Amino acid sequence: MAQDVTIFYFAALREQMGRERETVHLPAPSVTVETLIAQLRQKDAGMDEVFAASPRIRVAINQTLATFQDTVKPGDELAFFPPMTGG
Amino acid sequence: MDRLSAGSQGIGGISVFMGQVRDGPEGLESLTLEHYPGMTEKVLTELAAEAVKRFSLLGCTLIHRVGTLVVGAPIVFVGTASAHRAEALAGTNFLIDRLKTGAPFWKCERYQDGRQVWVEAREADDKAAASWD
Repeated sequence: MAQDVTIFYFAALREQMGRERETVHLPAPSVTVETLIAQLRQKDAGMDEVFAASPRIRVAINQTLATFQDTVKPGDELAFFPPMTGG
Repeated sequence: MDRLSAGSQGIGGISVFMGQVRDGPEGLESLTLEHYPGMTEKVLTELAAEAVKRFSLLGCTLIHRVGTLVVGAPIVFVGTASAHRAEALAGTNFLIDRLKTGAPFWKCERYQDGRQVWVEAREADDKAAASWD
């Protein structure tokens, strides 16, 4: 529990993932989004397929747009989604 | 509009943009807007604050709808007030350009034949947003 993060998925990505949120365990107390995603994709073929097919996935950490090089810490709220199309 | 002009006696101009659901050649039945609750409010508040500061606005209102909307229904309202027209007009342009690519909303189109399609982001929108960097 102490090293968990919550992940949300939105829009087309939510549909492709087949879930809107999940809790995952961080492999280390401080990892980049890129490292976390690589580990999750290794364990989940469905997720690997979705992320491979969507090169423009965006990430937010604690409800602020971030990059895949930014660091994730325990308790953070992550979100992955396609480019935004509001307005 | 009343709220926009009520802020100050120094307001000399108000600019408004309203976006609405457009019909297409394939017969759109409805448009559903999904968003990221929490982040949406945060981004819109930050955008409004940035516009007020950058264009010396005396009033600013941002409204964005979510859920299922039919053709002709309003989606977004951007209103700005300033001493002179240039700031209000620029502020409105800035807000709609940045909102389209920076606020967490996603459009899903539903057609009369039952098809549902997520709207793809447009490169032109990215360029418009980047032009304010």
